[in-house]
Amino acid sequence: MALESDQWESLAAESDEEDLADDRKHNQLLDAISALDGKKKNSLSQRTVINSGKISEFQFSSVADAVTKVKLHELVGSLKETTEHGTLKQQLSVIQKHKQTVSTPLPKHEKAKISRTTAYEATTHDLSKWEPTVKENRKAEQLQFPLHKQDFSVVTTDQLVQRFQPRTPLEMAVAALLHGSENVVQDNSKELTLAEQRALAAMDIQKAKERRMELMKHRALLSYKELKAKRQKKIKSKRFHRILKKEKLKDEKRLLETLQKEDPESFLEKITQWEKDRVQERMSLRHRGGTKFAKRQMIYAKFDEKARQEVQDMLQKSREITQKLAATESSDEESDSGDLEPQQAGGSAFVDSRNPWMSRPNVLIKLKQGIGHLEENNAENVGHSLIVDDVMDNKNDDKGMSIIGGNTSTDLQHQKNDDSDDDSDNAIDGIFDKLKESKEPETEVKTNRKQIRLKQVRKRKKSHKSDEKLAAEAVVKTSESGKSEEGMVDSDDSLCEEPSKKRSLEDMDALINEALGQSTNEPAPKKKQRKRHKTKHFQSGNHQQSKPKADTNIDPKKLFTVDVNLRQSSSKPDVVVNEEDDDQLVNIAEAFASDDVIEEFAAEKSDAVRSGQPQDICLALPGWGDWGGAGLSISKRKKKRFTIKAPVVQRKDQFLGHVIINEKKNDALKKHQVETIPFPYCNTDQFEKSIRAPIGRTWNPAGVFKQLVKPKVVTHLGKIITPMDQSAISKHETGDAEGKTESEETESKQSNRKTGKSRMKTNKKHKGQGKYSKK
Amino acid sequence: MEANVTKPFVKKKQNMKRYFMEGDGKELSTNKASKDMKKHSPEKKGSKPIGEKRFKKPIKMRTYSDKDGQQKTQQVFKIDISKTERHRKWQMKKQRQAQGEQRKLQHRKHMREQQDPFPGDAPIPKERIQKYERGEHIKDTGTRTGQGSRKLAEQEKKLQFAARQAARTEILLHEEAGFLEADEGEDTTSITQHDLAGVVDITSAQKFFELKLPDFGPYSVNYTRNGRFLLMGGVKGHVAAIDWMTKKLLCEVNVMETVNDVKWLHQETMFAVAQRQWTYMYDNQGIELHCLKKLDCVLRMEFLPFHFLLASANSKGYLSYIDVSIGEKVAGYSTQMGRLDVMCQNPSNAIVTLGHSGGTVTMWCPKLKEPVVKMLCHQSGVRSVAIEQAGQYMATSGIDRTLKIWDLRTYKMLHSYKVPMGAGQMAFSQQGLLATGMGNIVQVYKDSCRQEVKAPYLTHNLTSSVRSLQFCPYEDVLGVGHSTGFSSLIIPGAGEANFDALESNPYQTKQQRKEAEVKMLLEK
Repeated sequence: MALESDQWESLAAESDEEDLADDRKHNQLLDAISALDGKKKNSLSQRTVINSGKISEFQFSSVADAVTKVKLHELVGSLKETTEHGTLKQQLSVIQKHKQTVSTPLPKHEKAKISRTTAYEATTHDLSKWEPTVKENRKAEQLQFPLHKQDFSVVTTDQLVQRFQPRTPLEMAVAALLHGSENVVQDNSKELTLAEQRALAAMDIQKAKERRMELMKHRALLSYKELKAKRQKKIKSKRFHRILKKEKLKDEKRLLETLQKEDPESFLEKITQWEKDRVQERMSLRHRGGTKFAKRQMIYAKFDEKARQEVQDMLQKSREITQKLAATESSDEESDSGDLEPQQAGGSAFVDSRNPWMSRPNVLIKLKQGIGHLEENNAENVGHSLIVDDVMDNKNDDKGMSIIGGNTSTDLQHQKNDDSDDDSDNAIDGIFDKLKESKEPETEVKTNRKQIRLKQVRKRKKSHKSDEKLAAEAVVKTSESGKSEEGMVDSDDSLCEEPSKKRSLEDMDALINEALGQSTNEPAPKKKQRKRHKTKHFQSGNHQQSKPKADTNIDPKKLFTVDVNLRQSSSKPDVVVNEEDDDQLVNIAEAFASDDVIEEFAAEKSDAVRSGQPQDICLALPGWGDWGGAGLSISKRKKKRFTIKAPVVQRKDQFLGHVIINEKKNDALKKHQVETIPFPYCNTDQFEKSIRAPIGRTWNPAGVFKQLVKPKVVTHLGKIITPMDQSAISKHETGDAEGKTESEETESKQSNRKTGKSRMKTNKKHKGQGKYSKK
Repeated sequence: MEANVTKPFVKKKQNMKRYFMEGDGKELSTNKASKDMKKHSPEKKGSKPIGEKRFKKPIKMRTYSDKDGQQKTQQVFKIDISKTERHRKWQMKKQRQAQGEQRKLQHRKHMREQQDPFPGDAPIPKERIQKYERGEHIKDTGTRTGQGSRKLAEQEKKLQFAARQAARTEILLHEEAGFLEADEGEDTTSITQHDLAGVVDITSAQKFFELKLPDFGPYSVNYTRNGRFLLMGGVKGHVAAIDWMTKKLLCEVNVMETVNDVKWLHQETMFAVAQRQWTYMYDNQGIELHCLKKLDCVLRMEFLPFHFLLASANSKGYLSYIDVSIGEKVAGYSTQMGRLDVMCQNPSNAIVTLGHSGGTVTMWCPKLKEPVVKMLCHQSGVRSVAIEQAGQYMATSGIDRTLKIWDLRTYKMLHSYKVPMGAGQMAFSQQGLLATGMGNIVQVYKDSCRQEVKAPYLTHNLTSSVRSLQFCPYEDVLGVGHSTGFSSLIIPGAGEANFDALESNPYQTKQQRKEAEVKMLLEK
């Protein structure tokens, strides 16, 4: 390197002296020197152009130079000097006069988008033409393919000629000769040859104009669309978007309200959907930063305002979803109930009601209280007027709870009702409906939903009056319950006179205790009381609820009391030798016939009942919240608090002492049962009724069977099914009168046939009896 | 020549004239009646004198010569023809003709139009339709989709049509079940089989017969589903299948073993015999087809025709089901209830019902290990159980000499009877008659389920004790197997009067039988 620099210095000195005699040589030298090093240096040779400042076709103009922008007058300046190029001059002047800048074309993707939308619209319009045809076909009871029926009209020679297709080479050659030329008339219906037609078409200005207009219109539409999209896109106003959103929300709300009034079932469905969303949200925490996207957004949010906004939106959404439904009902009442809750909790007043983990046992205790003092509650509650509005809340809160006890919500209700005398009639009615519901599972083995609904309706009709009556009744009941013992004895005596069908009430009680006594302590007294009321009714004879319950217990003991002696004819059975010992056996058996058969059976039944009954679950943890140590025992109160009460299962044989009905789930059957209502059906009633009737040959007349199993689609072997063509549409559009679908036609035909048959039948009948003619 | 030529000409002319006259006359007769009468009246004047009272003034006198050549005068009256009797008659005739014409026209028109005086289908009484309706209609056919709703509505319409049609076809059930009705002061109970056989027609009388088979002990009997064939199994090994109507023997074998029970399978081609150790299957020639070692010590069997299941109960308390179409055991459960010698099936739902020594009755289905229902029916052991055709009522009899009727819908007892000897065997007929075998007496009760019965409908004394009972389907016949053979008794009103030939046809041909078998298997 040192050598190099020395050389350079010497050279520089030389150049100074010679005043840059030859640059080129110098450069060459430089290159040579640098090549010595072994590295090839890219020689950057620059071409320089002498810029004269004048535009000429022989010179380049540098783009970078702002000053030297090409102007039109510069280009065509020379035109002024010449007398030639007249037309060009004219054109130029026109251009200069109407100088308008063309708007910048849209970006490519925008353009594509717009053309896509327009294309979409056009195609949808095209396709919508098929809609009625398709709908009709779907509606048709039966479709026979091919859809077009063959016409059996006589084929003329012309038609035959038309149908003819050349196959052999000779035929093909002839056909080519005949059809090849455009100057031969191809179609008999047309007068002109193809060539003539084309010539005519070329001459048609009108059509061309029309076509042009069409095109123009299309283009204009496109541009409108563009503009609109542009405008809307530019709107940054949050307010605008907020209004849009609000409008949407409002619409939804209105829809919900109408649904609530008109179609409560679908409303319920909506609500359950809402609930499900909520649950899902709570499970997944999708909008709480659970997803990958959300996590990333959180990180960006620090720096990016947009991301921050997004996170906020997300959180808002999560809040929305996880919000309980009850909020829509009435906020004040919610707060009311909130106030009440701690009071009811009694000892556990300090428990935070907001904590879901702690609130559950709370409810449980309430439940138990409710069950324990149901009778009192009834008496009290009926006297007052009650709140119902919160029922919805409770139900939503405690879906699980409502399973645990059929009467949970209502019991809760009873305790909340002390301070609400001013509620509307509606509320009262509602409560009574609920009361009724809660009572029914006790009184009746079967509680059809339908029945309940019916009762509700009836109750509503009665409204206030019935309430008062019931209230009074209830008071009477409670006051007289003490006397029941004597009444029971009396009624028992009176019943004994009647034969086997009747049963004594004492036995009923006893059997209930036997059956349910040990396992479920609490419901038993309830039932007892109920029964006592009944005895009272028997005694006093004021049959306000006059209908005696159909399903009451049958004591097996009573089954074996009274027999009707059959009057025998004179013939008595001969005592045959081998029958004699049998007879003796019978006598012995009769003598030793004892109650132990019955007792055994009763024991067996109680076992079955017990095994069928779900057990209570005690969740109390020993030592939790207590001082530890040996010999620790959980306090009763705690046990009570943390026990999940098992639901009392209503058995079918509850009131049949002599019957054990197996109520275990049959897994073999489960396979054939549906878990949810199948698709198009709305409710269970619909679904069940839709499969209520058998369709087999065994249960239906032959004709009906055929109708019932009529296939939706019928195809014929060997018949080609072509896709539908335009003619199907036109047929539908034009002839609506004759355009009845084929199925309809066939139907009408059938009906005709039917009437014909029936006529025959009627004729016969008239000959025979003339029974119907009189009617 | 000339004359010859002219004669025909003249004749022709006359002819023409006459023709014209005729034509004239016709024209007159059609156009103007009065004119015609005027013309005709002089001709007929001689034949019928016209009353002078009516036509007072003679217009002129007319002279004419009669055939003797004498000149005579005759008065000529002017006549108002429209007032004559003849005219009146003639007019009447015309009128009648015109009316006839009109009626004919009307009739023709009517024929053209073919008006039905009773248009539409014949109306069906609502109650009858209701009988065939299955449950309530769907009121709300609105589903989640329009298509779905439409389909549902359509289906609903079809079901209603089905009910209507079924009600309509009732017209084809023309046979009626009849019962014995006693005169006042008399009792149907006192009517004996011999009385009946003496009264009824020959074919019916032939249905009362006895087979004396004293050697091979008490017989158990079984009829096929169509009631045509009878299977008998004597305890001491005698097994015989007969066409009991023609008394033609299908086969007769001695299996040289104790026979506990015999049952036809789905058709008269095969039957199962529960023998001392195993259960065997024979064809109608008496050839042994199978030995079912899975079914041992079987005491009673029931064949469930719609499921092709042979249910059997054995002496060790084991209940098993065998699918005879595939020859495999479907289910088998130990009932833990001891010897099972009381068994019957519920014809409406194929639930097998067993009676036990503890006074209980249990109901079983092949899919459940435990009884579906267990009922305490008697204080002591159950001797026999029978369930009515519709599956609504059950009769049980126990060692305690009681006979009880139960409602199977509510499981409650309806009636309890004390019978002198406990009913050892019971059977329900298709019409709901209950036959009981007590010792050597067979008693039949009528309508015992719906009301309390005071006395039996019919009784019959046998020579020996009853072993098994069965009503013959579609016949008024009760088959009784006893120690000394078999007797077929006439019980009026026992069988279903109308049989469904597609379901079970007593007059089945061989071809039909084959087809029915295939159909049954397909519908299994």
